[in-house]
Amino acid sequence: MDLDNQDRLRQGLRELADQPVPPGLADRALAGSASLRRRRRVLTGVGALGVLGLAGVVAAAVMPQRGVDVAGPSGSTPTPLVCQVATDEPVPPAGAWGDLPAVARIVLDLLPPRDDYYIGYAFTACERGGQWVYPDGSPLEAAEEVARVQLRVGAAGGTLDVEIYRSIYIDVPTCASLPPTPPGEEMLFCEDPTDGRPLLAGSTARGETAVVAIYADGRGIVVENDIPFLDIDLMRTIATDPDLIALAR
Amino acid sequence: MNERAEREFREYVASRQAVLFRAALLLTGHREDAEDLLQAALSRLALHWENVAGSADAYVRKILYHQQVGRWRRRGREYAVEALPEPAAAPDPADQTSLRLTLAAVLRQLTPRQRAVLVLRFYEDLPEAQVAEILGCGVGTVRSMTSRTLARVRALAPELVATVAAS
Repeated sequence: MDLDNQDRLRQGLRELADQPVPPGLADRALAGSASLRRRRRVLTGVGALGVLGLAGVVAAAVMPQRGVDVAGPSGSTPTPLVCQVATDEPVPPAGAWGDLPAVARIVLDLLPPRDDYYIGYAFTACERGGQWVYPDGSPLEAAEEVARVQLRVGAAGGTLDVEIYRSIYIDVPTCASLPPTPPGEEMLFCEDPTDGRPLLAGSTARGETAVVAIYADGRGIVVENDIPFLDIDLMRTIATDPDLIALAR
Repeated sequence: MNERAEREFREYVASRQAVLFRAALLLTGHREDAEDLLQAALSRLALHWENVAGSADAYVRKILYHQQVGRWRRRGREYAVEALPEPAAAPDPADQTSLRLTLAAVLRQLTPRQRAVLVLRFYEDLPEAQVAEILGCGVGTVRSMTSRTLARVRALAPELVATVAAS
């Protein structure tokens, strides 16, 4: 491509990108940073493996073997996981959820029925050749989510984000071991783990609420929400749903 | 983030949001996706603002491009742009409209990494060394990726080259 064509390319890109900038970017970024900070606090504060290179070694020492029924929620039946993904699509009527990733189906089942849910993205990772991978075959690292769904409601009704983790934590946390709540964030509740039930903590910052469930075997669910009609009780229900955490068996 | 830092962050976003949003738009090809991508990048910038304020542009660009190129984590696949950005304003002369449509169609068929190279080199007009730093690869790799991407553009849109040749 000669210089004239490259200039033409530049001109075309400039014209293609000539769009009005959406309002409120700074406000939304600050809200998003509060959410990231909260997640980081929870993950690091209780001894998360995070993205440490030695995660596999430590996890092997403290985590149950894959495929073994661990001391998590009871009543769920592990089924073979297939890699699934959905992106940018309206949620079909309830009878036609067959093609949605399992994580999306399970969460939608727990939500009040509406006809204006929209999937931003959803995926379920899977095991392939003894290794956990994303739907495109990329390997899953220790601290990355094994399944996730982001749902929106209507045109501008907020977002619900549900993430399921398989092996993040080394130690079983307790409410007392959680680090102090940072300025601008309010801890709504924290319940210590009991037999078969996870540690459950809820907090809010900048109009977004989060509920985190951490199971004794290291699996966890993070639910973040700013959809007004989804209350904290429903978030607790999602965070402790046995079928959801079973995705991270 | 304290008050002063928040004020500085807001000033930064106000001054740079147009450039960053338009780059995100070219990367994703979809207005909502561009908003999501930029918001995620700015959120991370806000999280680390007090440490990176002096090099905010470089930091946010790096996040922006890596998040888009690594989009499989959110999207689950290497995907093509799903929708064309709408034309910005009043109808243009036919050749300009044609150029936009052709380019939009070409972008749809590039991989995220190819789009990143194209946007960094030909929209942001960054030198190869800076592109290499942002994408975390060598200058030679940027050079070969640019060459391959332009060849792909040529292959996908011979009419673009023909239009230019005729004009």
